[in-house]
Amino acid sequence: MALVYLPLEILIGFLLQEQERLRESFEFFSLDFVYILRMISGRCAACKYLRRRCPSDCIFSPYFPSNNPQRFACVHRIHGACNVAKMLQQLPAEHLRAEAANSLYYEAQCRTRDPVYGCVGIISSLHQQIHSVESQLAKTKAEIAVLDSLAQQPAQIQ
Amino acid sequence: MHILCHLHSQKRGGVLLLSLDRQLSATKRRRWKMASSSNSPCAACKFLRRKCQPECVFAPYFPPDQPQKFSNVHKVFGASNVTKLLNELHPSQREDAVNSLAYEADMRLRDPVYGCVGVISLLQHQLRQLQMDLSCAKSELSKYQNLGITGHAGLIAAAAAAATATATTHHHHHHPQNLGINLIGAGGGGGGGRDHHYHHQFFPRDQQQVMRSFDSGILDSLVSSSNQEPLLEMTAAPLTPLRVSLPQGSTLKGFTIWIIRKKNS
Repeated sequence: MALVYLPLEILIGFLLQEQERLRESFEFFSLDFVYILRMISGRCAACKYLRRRCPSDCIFSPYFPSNNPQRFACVHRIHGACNVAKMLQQLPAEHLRAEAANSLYYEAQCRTRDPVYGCVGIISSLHQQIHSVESQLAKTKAEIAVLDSLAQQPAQIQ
Repeated sequence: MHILCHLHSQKRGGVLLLSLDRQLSATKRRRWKMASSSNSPCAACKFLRRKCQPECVFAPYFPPDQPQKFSNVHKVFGASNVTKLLNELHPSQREDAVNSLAYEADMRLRDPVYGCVGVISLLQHQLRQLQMDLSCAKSELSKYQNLGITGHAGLIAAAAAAATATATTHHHHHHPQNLGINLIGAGGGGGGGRDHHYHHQFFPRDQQQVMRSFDSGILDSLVSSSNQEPLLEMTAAPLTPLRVSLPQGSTLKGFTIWIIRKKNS
């Protein structure tokens, strides 16, 4: 095997183009290259944060891409990587895991903004708003009912 | 010497029984018994199987009779994250923070996909529906304004107050008034009941007043002044007698015809 010294970007581009061709004839060779490339530059945000290699079946990689490191950092600070991994593992389907990852990120953001109440503060505020609108609606409907009865009374007397 | 310690709490008289490894001496056994009977470890230290120190950060918020609370919080957030979070907060805020964490953890375990976000989404949807209903009701009310229908301000005020009181009572039935942040029971209980417990407990203490005085701004312009003599009195059964007066230039046909008939008789 000859050693080729190339800039990383050119090397990545070359190997991605040649991947399919090499796979047929030099399967183990190309797979080793792909593995090494992923190790160097293809790690997900979680594995980069945790400073570990990113396996091909990494539970985090579909939901914490490397271009958004802040997303995993926020979730890890609140929930912890182990808990997130366990929660995602429990879900059978990928789309459910994606939704769960998004909701965990949302909750982590809320908790970061409001360390005391987090999401519960938002729920409380929504309850208050609902109660206020319900009161206004009841009042308006009562006014309509009275005015409706007034409007019908002359017709009844006729 | 490896010590295995299992603490079993029995409800009869609150006596703690200990079962220890054989290697413990009788004196140490007596010391454990005295210590544990005076200061039972908090739920967190029981769960983590460690000695509960006097300055344990979890002890005030995870009492030993609520093991499920810490178990849920630990599953979702982790003990170390909770410790860091509590250490960053003022001691006066920690109880509220722990109770909100317990609520979030409980929601997440019930709904592993959406957790609290599902509740928020549901409430936002409900709020949007109510706002649409309110705008429809207001547009319907404005039709009556355009028709020039008037009514006694007191009568409408009474009806509106009664409707608001009914809405408030209904709201109280599901969401009792603010009790501050005090989680009553985290373990056991029905799902619906627990929801209501959690829902009403987290309202901030300065909840706005429910009962509002009648805002008669819409109808004020149509109600006659006290100087103008009413054209007619009519009884609006089963309610109190109603004075009706028409503003100048009114073109309400129904009222006009009725007045003419009365004059003829």
